[in-house]
Amino acid sequence: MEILQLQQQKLSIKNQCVEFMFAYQQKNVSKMLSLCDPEGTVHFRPLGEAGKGTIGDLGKNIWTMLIDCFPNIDNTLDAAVAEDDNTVRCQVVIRGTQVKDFAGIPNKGMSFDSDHIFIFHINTSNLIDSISVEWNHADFSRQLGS
Amino acid sequence: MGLATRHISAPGLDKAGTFHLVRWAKNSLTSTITVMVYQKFKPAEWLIPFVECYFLWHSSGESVADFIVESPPTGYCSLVVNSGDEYFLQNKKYERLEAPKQFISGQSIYSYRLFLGGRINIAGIVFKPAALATLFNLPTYQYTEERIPLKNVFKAVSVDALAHSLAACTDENEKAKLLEAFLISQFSGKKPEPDVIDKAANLIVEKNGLVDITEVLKDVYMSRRNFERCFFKKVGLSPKYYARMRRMSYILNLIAGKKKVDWATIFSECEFYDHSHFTKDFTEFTGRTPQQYLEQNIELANLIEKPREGDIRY
Repeated sequence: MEILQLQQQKLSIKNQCVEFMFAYQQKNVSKMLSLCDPEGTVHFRPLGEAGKGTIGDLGKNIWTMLIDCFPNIDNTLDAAVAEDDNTVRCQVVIRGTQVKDFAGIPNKGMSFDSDHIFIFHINTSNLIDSISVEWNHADFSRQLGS
Repeated sequence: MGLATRHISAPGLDKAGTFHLVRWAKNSLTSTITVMVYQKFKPAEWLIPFVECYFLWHSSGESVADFIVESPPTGYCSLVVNSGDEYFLQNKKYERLEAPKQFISGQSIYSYRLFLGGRINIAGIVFKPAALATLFNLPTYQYTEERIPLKNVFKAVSVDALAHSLAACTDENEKAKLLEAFLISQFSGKKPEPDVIDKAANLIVEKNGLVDITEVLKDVYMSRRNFERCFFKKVGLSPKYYARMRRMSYILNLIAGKKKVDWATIFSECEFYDHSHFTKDFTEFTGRTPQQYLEQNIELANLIEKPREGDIRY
């Protein structure tokens, strides 16, 4: 019985993560945040210590800035796999065209298309309480002309 | 079990489909043998958009011991009923997971290994990529890399009845019919029709992943974003990623049983941009480099050879 409940839970935790990525695709930051614990942590790993913060603060700022600097930003969710009872790994391709300077990368009107890995942790209230985002930042910068 | 000799027979054809026979002599000093039979049966014509085949896999004679089979990603989902001894699964996530007695599995993105022993008696349905969603309204993306007990999906009484019938049945054709009858009994009266996602996913299967998704989009009359989202929900992966996986499945089928392969020809014929893209995909889906895979792989397909004159045919 315990195993069955565990499997049901594993299925439902994917919903939050998939909904999060779909909301990101719609550029709906409010919806993205509504699926998360605002005090939860986010780590944009390639940015080092500067990429660590809370979802409600740093996460909100970065996603809002990304949408502002890349108005046509879009993503394709390739796969969502439960890694353990509370963790889901999403493989995502994110693409967009730059119209404003972003995080030290001057705007040259160029586009990027980059594989990203999002690792979501879901708490017992079924809210995302931790997000880790990984991508090849050197390649991302190169595509944008930096 | 020390296997001194391996005799292999195989594909024949009966009215329902193909089958393979694998047979071992336990050792050269005794006459005891283990016979393993893997059979495939075609579905009814109207189920072809949804069902790739029904399969039966069983052993007889001496018990199987320490038998390991590797399964690379195939692009299909499945329903499995095990009437034999327990077996275990090893994949990226689990070192050793006991497979549920009856389960549904979604897309397996990565290679996995099965560790079997004792008596093998497994039956199942291999579904086309979007069929679980079309036939049963299941959100297939939730099933990716998962094995969900069948009783979580269908009524326990139906599952028990199927398991009991399969265990009691000794006729292979009848077993395949039981699987098909179960399948039909689970959708509510209305004859299912394949939708645009079924057709697009099946096209990717037919073309072995060698398909331009932009071309597929022209026939579905949906925006790319909407198509990708619907495809993800019904198949469990994005169309492009699914095509990449299916292409790798095709390549693994091409090299099955070989110890030497002309990789340059394969990656060129399979339309890889360059060798590094080929190696990246190969490593991602199999967990090994192409050469390591050739040296180490233990797929069931490797144990099966073309029929020889005088081989048993059913």
